[in-house]
Amino acid sequence: MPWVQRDEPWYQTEVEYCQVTGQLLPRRYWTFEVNGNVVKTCHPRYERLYHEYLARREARER
Amino acid sequence: MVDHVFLRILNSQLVNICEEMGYAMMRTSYSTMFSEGLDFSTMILEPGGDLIAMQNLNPAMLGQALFSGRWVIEDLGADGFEPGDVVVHNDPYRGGSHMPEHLLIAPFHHRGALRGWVCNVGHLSEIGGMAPGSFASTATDVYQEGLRLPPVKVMRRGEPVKDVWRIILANHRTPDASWGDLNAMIGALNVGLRRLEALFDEHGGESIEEATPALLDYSEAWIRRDIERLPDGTYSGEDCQEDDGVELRPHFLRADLTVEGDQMIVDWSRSDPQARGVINCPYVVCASATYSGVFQVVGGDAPINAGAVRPIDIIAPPGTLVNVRHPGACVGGQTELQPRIIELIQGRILSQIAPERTAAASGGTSGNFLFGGVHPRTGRYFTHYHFEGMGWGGRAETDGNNAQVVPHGNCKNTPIEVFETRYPWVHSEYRLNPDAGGPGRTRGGLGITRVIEVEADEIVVSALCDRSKVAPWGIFGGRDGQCLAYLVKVAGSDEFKTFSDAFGTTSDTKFANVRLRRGDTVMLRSPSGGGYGPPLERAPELVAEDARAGFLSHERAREDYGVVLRQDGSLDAEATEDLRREL
Repeated sequence: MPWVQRDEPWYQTEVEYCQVTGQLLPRRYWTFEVNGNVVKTCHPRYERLYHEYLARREARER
Repeated sequence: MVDHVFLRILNSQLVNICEEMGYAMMRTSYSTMFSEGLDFSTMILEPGGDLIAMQNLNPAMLGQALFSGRWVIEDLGADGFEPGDVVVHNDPYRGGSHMPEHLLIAPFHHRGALRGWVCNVGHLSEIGGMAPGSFASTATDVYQEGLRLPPVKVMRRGEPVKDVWRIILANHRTPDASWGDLNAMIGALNVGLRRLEALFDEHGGESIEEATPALLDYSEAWIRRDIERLPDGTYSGEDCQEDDGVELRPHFLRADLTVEGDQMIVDWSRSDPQARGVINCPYVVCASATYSGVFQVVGGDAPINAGAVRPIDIIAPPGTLVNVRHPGACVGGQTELQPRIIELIQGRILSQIAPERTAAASGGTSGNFLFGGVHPRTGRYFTHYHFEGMGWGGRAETDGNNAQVVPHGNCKNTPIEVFETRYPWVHSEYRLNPDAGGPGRTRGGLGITRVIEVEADEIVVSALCDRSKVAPWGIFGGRDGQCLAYLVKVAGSDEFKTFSDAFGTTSDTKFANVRLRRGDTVMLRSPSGGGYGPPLERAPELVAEDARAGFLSHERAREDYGVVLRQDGSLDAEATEDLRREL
């Protein structure tokens, strides 16, 4: 999936965070899908981190 | 293929430019924060915002070097900058660390094209908010901590943006110092721009642009090689802040570090939710500390740049202590949480797999003591941010350093002469604390005691520190170091008390806006480092040497180390051997 540009008006002060690492997403984010849900991340390489680490950890915790 | 010799030369030249920028800041600042404390860092970024070189004066600012500048460029867009522009930024919620630290960034153009960026990060001594010195230890949101600046231009095409300057200066208690220090930072950026221009003229823009990715790859490969030598597995550890200044309960940091081949994942997900008080940190602080903890064990002399951190993934969920969400207070994250993250990574976790490269706990607090008031000699308002030296932890081969500012800060103490010249206090005591270092094969470094008396009608003081209850830990059989104590003796009394007992503050170590009067006396006793390895394995000659130096009493030599010293201080080897057999 592609990079997505955040199109916030200049007066908007809310920020968004990478759903894998917790980094700030100043203007754009990379998206991928997990079970029909969109995950926003700061770099394409974190898609792999999600699948190979976070998803496994979450499965173990469940 | 870029020649490695050229890469090393280029790296040294870029770092030298950063160093020269640093000297410019040191020599031209108004406050003692840069000239004495060296509380700043300087850096160069490639056109996309990746860090290629820095003067790592203050390792606590590594996260800003890696992320903050890049995020400013992404936020504002590189095409929004013209030659001569400078952007200022201190917003923890747009990629900053804590608000006193301001990042300034300027574009570098060569022959009409954008070729990179020069940056610096400096701690301004006063930025407004609810307490003089802008360390409001009892704050519960970011708006109480000072003036928050999202990335905005302070210079446009070389001219000051006066509207922005007016807002900044009107909101700081000591605008002269802010004016001087911010201009010192701008001057340093100009030094960097001139030196980069000369460098690009020397080598040609194309060869530098070709070398930059190779330099990042070189660092990455170095770090990967070192990580690969560690055994695969997941290693965990935890540490805590004793309180957050608002609620008297500990807040826990927990990390799981996974080594998998040449990659490392540091996962902070099990850490406590963000605190109500000021001990939270934003992502960049957690990243600074995590990388610093790892680099104390792997990497050696690898150039620190954006390539060096590629093998290390950090997971810091928003809403936790290590990644605070708006509008949480967070001024203490940089000074108090950061050293604990570093020591948790290297001393608690990596010590499990690389014991020879790790250390026991240092005092683990910056010992922040802030004050402000009207100087009786000048009639002018003053503020000061004072950080205290303490003991570092014992290491595999050497004792911990004595009386040195927290390892991640790398800052210097303000000398007494400067302190008393600028501020209305007088020292009656400033000494190392004997018997305070954690006993071990290598001893924990000694903390210090400083006793100062108020020489003005009124001074407002605040403190933000930790380790008054949970001692700096020893490792591998080493014992704990002495705790911190910040005490006060009100004029006319002959007893030192905690600030809670004397003034009813919630916390002994995190309080704001206590009014002291002429003749009141403060004692700052900083913590000492933990010991490394069993104390009975310490060479008796070293114990005798410590006693001769006044670091250790004969009683503690006997009880902690099993070493018997004669009255004249000489070592009684036979009695020592007998005693150690008994212990």
